[in-house]
Amino acid sequence: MWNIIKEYRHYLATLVLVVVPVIALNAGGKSPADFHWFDRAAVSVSAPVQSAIRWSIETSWDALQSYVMLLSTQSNNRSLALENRRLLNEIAAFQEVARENDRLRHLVDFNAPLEGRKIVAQVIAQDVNPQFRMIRLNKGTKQGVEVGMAVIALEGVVGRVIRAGNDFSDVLSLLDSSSAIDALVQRNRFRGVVEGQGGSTLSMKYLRRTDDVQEGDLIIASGIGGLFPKGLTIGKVTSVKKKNFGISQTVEVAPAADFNRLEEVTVIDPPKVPLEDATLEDVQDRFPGKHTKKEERHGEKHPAKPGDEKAPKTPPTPSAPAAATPPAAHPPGAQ
Amino acid sequence: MIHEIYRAANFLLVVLLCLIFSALQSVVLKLSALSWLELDLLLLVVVFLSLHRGFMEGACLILVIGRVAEIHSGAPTGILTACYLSVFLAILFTKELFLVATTFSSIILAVAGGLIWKVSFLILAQRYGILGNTWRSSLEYLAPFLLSLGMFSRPVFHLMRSLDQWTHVERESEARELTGEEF
Repeated sequence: MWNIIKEYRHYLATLVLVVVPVIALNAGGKSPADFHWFDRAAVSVSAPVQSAIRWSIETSWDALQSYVMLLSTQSNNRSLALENRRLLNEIAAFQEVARENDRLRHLVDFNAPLEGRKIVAQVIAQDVNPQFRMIRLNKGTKQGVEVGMAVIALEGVVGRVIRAGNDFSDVLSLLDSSSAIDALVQRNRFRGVVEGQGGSTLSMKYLRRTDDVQEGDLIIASGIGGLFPKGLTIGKVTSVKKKNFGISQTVEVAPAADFNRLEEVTVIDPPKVPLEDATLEDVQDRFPGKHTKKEERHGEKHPAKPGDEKAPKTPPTPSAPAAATPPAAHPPGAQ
Repeated sequence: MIHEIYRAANFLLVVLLCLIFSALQSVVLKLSALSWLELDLLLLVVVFLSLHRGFMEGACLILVIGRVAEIHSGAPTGILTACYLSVFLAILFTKELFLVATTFSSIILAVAGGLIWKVSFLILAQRYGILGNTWRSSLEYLAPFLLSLGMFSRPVFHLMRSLDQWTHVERESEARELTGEEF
């Protein structure tokens, strides 16, 4: 027996080498695995190096920029003063719009955005492999980051936390080919799933052929799943392709967040109870006052019939057309 | 005894070097000015190890390097390890057929290793449904990827050789090559 093993050791070893990663791939599925002791030890060595390299690059760049900026300070000052005056005017106009928005929100009883703990983190590194789109943050479990939390930037959705160490965490960005998020076309509330393609653009799938989607349409998070607050910008439609056959269309979306220039992001704590499992008490805790208002409205105004002249003419809520749209099929990876 | 200590130290140093390479690759090589290169320093380490290590030691090191790459990536578990192992096995096979004695032949092997890496990655990504549009960017950046591997192979190999000399592994691998011993 030993002689046979010795004779064929090259073949056996090669077979083991081929089989080990294949088993790992089949067992792990499409998602990256969580950190084990070796991974934690390895990342505890590389993460500080990543932070140090990032810091030195940024410091040198800032120093260079400061010097270059000094050369054109006077002209910059003049243009900034002009811009400041223009922005002050705009702020005054926006304050008026904000007040009007508050009044309208109150009138239509619009859903409050999901609130939760927010952790601001800095991007210290990107994926080591250009075919995948992970980013590493400088905040981890010590600062309250947990696996499954949503990550957003000022411009819009970035991704979700897939692994968390003590002082760092890994985020699977929207661009990664194993990433998917339920989304709406803002203009007409058609639903689809935005998937990463591994490149610099996203693809919105499961839109029916007849759904009206145009270039320039804004794509927002639908809020389904409770991970990303409804209404967060995902991106803008850049092209719509309809084949001569088939029931769906392919829509290419440019992400709102600039993934090449991401520096700071916000990690949001998702609701502790998943929306599908939430009890009435959980919902009332999350939106205090909203349901009592609704109950009052139902109690007082429901008897009024549509034909009744006294029936209140409430403006349609933004979510109403979405409810009329039949839900699209979703792959299991959709967030 | 001292020989085993040197050997273990070399193993650990190679892993440490790979961690530093991963850090460099995920920060410096992701800057806009350099990102188009798509340089994979770990792949160069794998090519070097395929040329200068025995089957078992090389395989163990490459399993560890594959894991190092995966924990710095959003890749599914096993895919990068499988790609690195395919490069390792292909170069071992090539080494049996051809004499890899000059620096130029090592550089050519590094470029060929890059090609094997890409092909095995595309096959596995297609098999596990994570290909998306990755094939497009893989083909678009194939030329700079291979070129950068060729350009950087010499300094990386030189660094690795210095590490081997420092831990006295170089002489042993030369002896193994002369005697034809593999395990």
